[in-house]
Amino acid sequence: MKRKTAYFFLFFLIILSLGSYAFFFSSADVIPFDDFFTFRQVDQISSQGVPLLFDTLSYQGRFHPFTPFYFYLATIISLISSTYVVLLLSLLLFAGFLLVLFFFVQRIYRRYWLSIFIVFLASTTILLVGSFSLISGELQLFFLLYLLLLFSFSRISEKGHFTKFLFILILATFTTPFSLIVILGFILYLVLLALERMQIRKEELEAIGFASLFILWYHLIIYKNFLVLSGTQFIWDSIPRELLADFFTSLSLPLLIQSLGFIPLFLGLYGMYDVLFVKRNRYVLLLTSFAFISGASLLIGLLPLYAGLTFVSINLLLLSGYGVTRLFSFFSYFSLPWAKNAFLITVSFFAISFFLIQLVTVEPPQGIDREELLAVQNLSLDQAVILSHIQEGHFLSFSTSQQTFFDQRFVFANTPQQRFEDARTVFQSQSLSRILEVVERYGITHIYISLYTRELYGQEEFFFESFECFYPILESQAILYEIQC
Amino acid sequence: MLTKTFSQERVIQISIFALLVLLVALLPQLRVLQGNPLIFSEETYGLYNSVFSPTSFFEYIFSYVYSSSFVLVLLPILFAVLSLFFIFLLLKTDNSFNLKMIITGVVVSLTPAFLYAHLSLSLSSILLLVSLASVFFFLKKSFWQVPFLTLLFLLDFISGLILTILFFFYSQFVERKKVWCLFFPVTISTVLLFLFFPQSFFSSSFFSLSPDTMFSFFGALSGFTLFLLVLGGAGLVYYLLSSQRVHFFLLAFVLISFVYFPLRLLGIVILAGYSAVLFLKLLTYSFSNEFVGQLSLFLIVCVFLFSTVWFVNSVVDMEPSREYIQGMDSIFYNDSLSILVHEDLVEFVTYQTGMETFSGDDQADFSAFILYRSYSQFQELLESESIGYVVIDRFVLNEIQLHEGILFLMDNNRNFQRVFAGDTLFIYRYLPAFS
Repeated sequence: MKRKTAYFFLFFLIILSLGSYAFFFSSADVIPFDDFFTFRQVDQISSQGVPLLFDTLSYQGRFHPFTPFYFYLATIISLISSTYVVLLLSLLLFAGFLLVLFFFVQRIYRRYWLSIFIVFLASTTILLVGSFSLISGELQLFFLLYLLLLFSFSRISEKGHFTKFLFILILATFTTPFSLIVILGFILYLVLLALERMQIRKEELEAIGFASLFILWYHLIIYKNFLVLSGTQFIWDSIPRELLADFFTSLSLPLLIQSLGFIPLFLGLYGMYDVLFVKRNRYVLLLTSFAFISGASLLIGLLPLYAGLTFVSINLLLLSGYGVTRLFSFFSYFSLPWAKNAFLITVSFFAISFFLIQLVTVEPPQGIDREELLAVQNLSLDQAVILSHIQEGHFLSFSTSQQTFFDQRFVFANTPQQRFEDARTVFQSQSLSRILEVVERYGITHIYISLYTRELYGQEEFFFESFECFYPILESQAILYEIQC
Repeated sequence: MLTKTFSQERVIQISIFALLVLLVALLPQLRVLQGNPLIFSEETYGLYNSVFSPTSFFEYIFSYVYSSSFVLVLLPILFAVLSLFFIFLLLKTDNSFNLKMIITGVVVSLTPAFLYAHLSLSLSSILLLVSLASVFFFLKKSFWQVPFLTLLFLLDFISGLILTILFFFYSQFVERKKVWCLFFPVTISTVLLFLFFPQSFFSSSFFSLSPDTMFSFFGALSGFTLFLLVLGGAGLVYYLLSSQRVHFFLLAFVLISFVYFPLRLLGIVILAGYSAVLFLKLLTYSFSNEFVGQLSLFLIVCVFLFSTVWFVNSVVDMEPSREYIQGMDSIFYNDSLSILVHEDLVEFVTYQTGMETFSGDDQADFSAFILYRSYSQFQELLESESIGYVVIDRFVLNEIQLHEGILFLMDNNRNFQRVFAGDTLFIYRYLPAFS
């Protein structure tokens, strides 16, 4: 395949993927819950120039350290459209992701048709198309930077690429604490190189040394106080146990196959097997290290479910390229030239069919209806503390500018586990005195009940709703109760 | 003439040594300047509380010197000076002054664990000195290894045992024949400990597998820093890969020091030595990109200074502060009552008030009593343990946040009288209903 033809196909695939993405996103016609945190940060950066670190609304006021690069980027995009800032940024990031994927695969395997094939697989993997709207914006950006980082690392011996690597590394570090996973990937890569008795290049060693120290140190500065207070329990202890349990019960083999796609999964695993036991390849060993680390991070719950699946999926896609080349050399060995085309056509057919079925059947992202948003924004509340479902915390902080009981940003939050249990008491208890005890302890003034909350708790009417002192002040799709007891 | 007596090299050596000593000595003064008490570690207060009934050799020695504050302030600094001196002696090659000595000295003396151990008199500080001396005299094949090893055994039997085992294997490794002198210390100390301090024979409480007690970035005051782990670890791996098998002994020791607290400081010193060596190698290393090289060295210095600055900053205001001393004055001595207090302040409160303390039992710790028990259970505990005062300190306030109910309750319940309220300390007197 010639370069121009490859670029044409690439352009075509990107347009098609963005179309699928927009379709998937618009089918729900909601604003995802996570986006409201971005809206708040964008508002804050636009007006103050700095992100909202001392959040007076979240968890009724808390210090909230985080890495802010994504939110600065979102603020720049908001100059184009403030309403669709997250969607616009997601589309840009997804397009960038496919573009970098193409050039990275081309760099490793040096075959245009293979690069196009991998981009095709990526754009027909429902997880990637879907998850870019299911995972937080910071992680979307991180995955793009991750690809760029590996890309620049693969060319680190070439002139000027070390500086590019450093630049991307710094951006990735400023984007999310999940950049710490990169260190583990690089360390495993060094170990695998040593096991395979391959030479460790000077530039690679320097880059890995610098990257490890920089990423560790930066996050240590940001989270030092939190680490000192919570010790090693900081990873899991800050997240309510019930949410963690949900994570581990949701993770299953059928979900893995369904999300990752059978073809990338098979080809990726075959590529890993081949590079570890049959034929050595430096770049593929690098990808294998990261595939292992991403899988391990997902299994132990270091990454949120869909983010972890996406990370595994990206690595498997990259490894699929190697799987395909090794499979083709196998075909050549047995003089089966027709098998290559037959394989590509069959795989493409299955990939498209599988994708189309999933595009229609997979549940679109959950979020807030625009009408509901307008209705809540029109309320005038003062000195309120609103209890809702945990996912709706940022939405309520954004739309009402009032304090909320809790949300899904757990780092440095005030007793998230206790609050989670207390919120469950309010929603599930059949004793008014117990409910009021919680309400009084936290000074809760309002309770927000959406259809989503009812669905999650499996209740058409909550126990407290039958009492007159819970007075509805908003009755749209959702109900906002003022507590007058 | 100065040049006749001291060479220029020696003057630099002494100046650097003096500067390091000054750094170590300065930190306690920073606390005093803030008006906070000089002695603040629970371990030292524990020593004070045990002077009339010493249960270990260290407590026994302490009971002889405790009355002189001057000695107590000077002793840790003296231990630090002597430890640094032995580190210099161990690193001295060909009788000459070298950069490795300086960098190791700087790294050791600015490591939070070293500074913390020498802020006030502690077992770690004397153990470091005695173990360094033991190692030095053992390597020099000097007779002095016997008394120092004996002293080490007496101070902490397990530390002595670990070091003796390593010495023994090292002797086999270098084919040293006279290993009999290693058996003297263990024999003498075993007899002495059995006769005088049988209960201090094995202190299993010093073993911990929790990373929270190993690493400074997880809150351990005597833990390994990121700098030591990354640079020291890389230095150690570098020597191991260069097939110098003798470094396996040091690796073994460092690994033991991770889990055995009294030897932690010596493990830190070893990693500091490797950090220094690697840093020196990096200074002369030809990086593939000069800019990256400079950036890397700058980053290493930043990482090193960060943990020290953070530690100094937090230690200056660390509890118990002036406010805590004032707070203790509001507690009136009553030998029939005890004080409910967080386990991190038990020794301090006992020392300041002279009263018994209670910080929980096997079933629940202090936080559990304060935060997760109902008022009736709480009251039951106060009655059963004859609690007269409840001390709510910063550790608890951090956890309490939205369990303010207990504070509210104590503020508004007639059974409680608030006798002290500071920024991070509240003291309540419990007045049982029948009184």
